[in-house]
Amino acid sequence: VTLVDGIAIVLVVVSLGFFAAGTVGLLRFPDIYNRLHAVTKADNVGLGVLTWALAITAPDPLVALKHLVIWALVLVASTTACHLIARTALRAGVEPWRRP
Amino acid sequence: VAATVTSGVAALELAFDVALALALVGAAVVIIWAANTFTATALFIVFGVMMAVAWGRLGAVDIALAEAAIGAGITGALLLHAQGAEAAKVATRPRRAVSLRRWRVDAVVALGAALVALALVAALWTAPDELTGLGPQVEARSVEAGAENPVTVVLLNLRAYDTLLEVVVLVAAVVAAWALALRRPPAPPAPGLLLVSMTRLVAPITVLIGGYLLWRGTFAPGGAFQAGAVIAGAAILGLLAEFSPPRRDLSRVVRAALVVGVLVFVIAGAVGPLVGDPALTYRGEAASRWILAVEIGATISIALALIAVFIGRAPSAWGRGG
Repeated sequence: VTLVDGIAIVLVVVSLGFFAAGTVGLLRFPDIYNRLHAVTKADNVGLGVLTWALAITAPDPLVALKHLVIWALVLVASTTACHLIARTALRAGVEPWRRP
Repeated sequence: VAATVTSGVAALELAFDVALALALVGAAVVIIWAANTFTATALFIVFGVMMAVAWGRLGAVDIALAEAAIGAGITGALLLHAQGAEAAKVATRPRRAVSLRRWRVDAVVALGAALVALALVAALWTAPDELTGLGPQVEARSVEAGAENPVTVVLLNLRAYDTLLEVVVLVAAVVAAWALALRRPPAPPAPGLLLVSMTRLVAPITVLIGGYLLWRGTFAPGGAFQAGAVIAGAAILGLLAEFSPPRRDLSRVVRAALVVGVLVFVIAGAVGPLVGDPALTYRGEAASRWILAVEIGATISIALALIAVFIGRAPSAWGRGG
């Protein structure tokens, strides 16, 4: 196991933590806005860390760059999707949750 | 240590595959029994993504790409779009009770599905342990057939008539969609600044990826269907962001582009008989050129067919406000 492999393994484990947190948030948070927040924030960080793990172990720099471009595109897409879902919910009259 | 790691990885992979298979069956069951069509549609998209992962796990990257682009992407967009039109209708009409006839139909479909599943299990059960398939034979003919990617060799040369008919089916589907002349769905809310600017950024990249998939198709996974679906995705994004098509009458251009794939394919297929070969065969140096020509024509037609089905109205109406 080389140093780069070791760093990649650490990054993958860290990314799993973010994905797990995002999933727990999606399942347990009280309303659609909170759930969106959990999924889009935590999962995108998780995906980013995972992408870096793949990028540093990639066979050549071009492949590494493609991994990072995929992450950037997912960031843009999920930000927009999150905004559209939240806006639609707000306009449909879904009240944001407040601590009772 | 190496052996322990290898067996550990194998066990992890097996666990992943079993979980994926169970999730696929679970998602299919929930889609069938979902309380409303929105839940079913959302899960159908998830099902498509998981199916793409499953094809990837089986090493069928071509099918994985097609499933992700067409199964999850375009079909998902079509179903959600149809839902927008349907929601307005359903709201004004009382829901009909499930009739006896409906139950009979369900029973026949269930029986048919069970028989197919049984036949597949039986086929797997009786199959020899070492399955080679037709892979080696295809590999052996790939140079003569004009493409390095075995899937492309099969789709565009060895079994080109299958692919020709698929492109024809897509054109027929567009004719049917225009003939049905679906009522215009209620206007969706304004797209908003974020969707518009995302489309400006992402749509050109998406078209570029479509072109890349088309070009790649001759030597690696990719090809006309994946490229066409990805390009159609960019156009659908543009339609949702309300970039309206030009205000000119597009009928002629659209109709010509819809059939260009079939046309190029038929011309390529007619070359064989001229030099004494059967129809739809091309070999030697010309083969790769014919394959590329057919792929380009088919990509244009497939992309346009998917866009046309999404719009759902004849192109004479496209220019007038989307």
